[in-house]
Amino acid sequence: MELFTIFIGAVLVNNFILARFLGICPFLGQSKNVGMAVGMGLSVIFVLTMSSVVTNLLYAYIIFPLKLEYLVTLTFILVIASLVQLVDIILQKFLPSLHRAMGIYLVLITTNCAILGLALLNVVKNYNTIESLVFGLSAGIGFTLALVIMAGIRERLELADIPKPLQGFPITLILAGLLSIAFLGFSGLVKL
Amino acid sequence: MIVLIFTLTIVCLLSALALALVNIVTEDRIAEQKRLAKLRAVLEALPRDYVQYDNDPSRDVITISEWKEKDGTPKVIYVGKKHGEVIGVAFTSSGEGYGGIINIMIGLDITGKMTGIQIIEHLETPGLGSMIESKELFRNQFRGKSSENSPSGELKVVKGRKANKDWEIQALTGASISPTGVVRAINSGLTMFKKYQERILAGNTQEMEQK
Amino acid sequence: MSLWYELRKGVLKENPLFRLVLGMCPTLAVTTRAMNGLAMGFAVIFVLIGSNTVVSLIRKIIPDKVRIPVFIVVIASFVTIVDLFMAGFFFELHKVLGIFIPLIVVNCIILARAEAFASKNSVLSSIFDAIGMGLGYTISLIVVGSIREILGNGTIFGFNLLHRIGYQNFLIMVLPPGAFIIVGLLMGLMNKLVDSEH
Repeated sequence: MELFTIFIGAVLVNNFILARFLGICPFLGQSKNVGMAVGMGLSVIFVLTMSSVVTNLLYAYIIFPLKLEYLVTLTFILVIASLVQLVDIILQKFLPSLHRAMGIYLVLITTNCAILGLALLNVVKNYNTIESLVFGLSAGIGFTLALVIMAGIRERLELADIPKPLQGFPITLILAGLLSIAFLGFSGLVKL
Repeated sequence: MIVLIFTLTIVCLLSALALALVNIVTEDRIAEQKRLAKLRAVLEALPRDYVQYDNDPSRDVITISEWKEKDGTPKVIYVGKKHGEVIGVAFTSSGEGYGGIINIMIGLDITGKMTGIQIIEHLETPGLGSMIESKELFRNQFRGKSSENSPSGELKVVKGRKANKDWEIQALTGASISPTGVVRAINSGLTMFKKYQERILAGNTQEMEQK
Repeated sequence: MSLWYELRKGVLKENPLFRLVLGMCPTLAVTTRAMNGLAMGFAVIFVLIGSNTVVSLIRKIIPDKVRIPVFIVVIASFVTIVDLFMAGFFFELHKVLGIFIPLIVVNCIILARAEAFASKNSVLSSIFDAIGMGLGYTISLIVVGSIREILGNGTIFGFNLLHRIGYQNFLIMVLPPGAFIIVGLLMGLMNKLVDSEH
């Protein structure tokens, strides 16, 4: 039951983008159409889940026992950067078309606050390895959900008459605000 | 290639070294801040002007290994003493609120009557449930409350009217789930306290380690 | 370009938040009060100055291929320093800002300035660039934080402002939706201002 709570919590109640504000940059940049959104979402799910588990193990078996908590920021970001590089190389070798489509955005996942944010939240919440696996997976799904919904809306926005100063990022942000209000309706759904 | 790995390794090592140094310099200060934060919580729950102890409860503690925290560590009871005799205690407890777990510090005198509470952390809605922390009137009503004469043996939240009895707590206007969470935390804390009451009041405290 | 220009551009024309759209995550998250914006801003200025300085100093000895990882390590180190420092001397603020302090390391502003400017310019220019960008970011944070605090809480920097006249808190402003909407509107406003200048 606990794992299910983590799942619902991360996808709906405390959606990483709409409630925790983690992952805004790709959210703003990659939500122009649903195809891009899905691609980005899947890569993020993959990197999030892996980095969640790896950083969790790193903390549990090296950092915590050796009292090296002050090295968390440094080591976590290095682990994440390496994982992303690894994914980059693997994609290039086995799925070159996807790799080309993602372009620079794949490497930019390193600076996606959601990845490091999740790793840090695992530490704060004291999750064990299974819990952090579920947390990472759920957060990624929530991220993708918000991204795809936004992309769907933005595709339709193409036909709307938006005042020039609000075009692009401003209107996306305001929309995100409305989406966030909608998601607020989920609060109280599960006890976190 | 070797040059690249070498450069990166050197940079990492230098950084780790610099951080280790900064850590050594700030370690004690950070530990002290944590202790002061804990002391502030204890002082809120066990006010010195109300329960006139003469020691430092954040340092004089009793640990109960059978009463475990969520992470498995033994419960720490902060003890207020006057001339070596126990006259008040404070300890943390948690209960489910609206948005998540509410963590509080409860203060009791030796008869089991409450001396106060401090909200340590919560996930309640800002502006509504969060008033358990921000509204002084809510927190202040806990002084003197007790579950002794309560028909259910526990504290109870009342809505819509004033709390007339010792065991009644008045809810916040517009938010009753959060105060219920606080009361839940108090009730479970009180239950556990009664279990180990004798041992705690015997007063064999140890000096709290500076971690 | 004069040093004064480096300083000025960060505030308006190349405002990192509203124009370059960098550093969005922490902005939305911490600006529930003006004070939080100020604290986060100062932390970012510190890290910016530190990392820009070091990156500029070592720019000629670091091989091109490893420069990004090296920048990240440098930035992470300064972030850790500010994190430890705040935990020791500004405990309450540190608790309020929470994970967003270590998250400064992935705040695109810092890496962007290291890569786009500090790695190609002198130490002195880099320092001024850091101060300018940092100030611009801090001012933006304080503006957003103040608006949200006044509308959502009736106070500014903790001082009671609107409650005397019976103001009812517009609660949504200090909740996530408020962040998105305020920043979105401000960005639109900025766009209008800069466009009308031309």
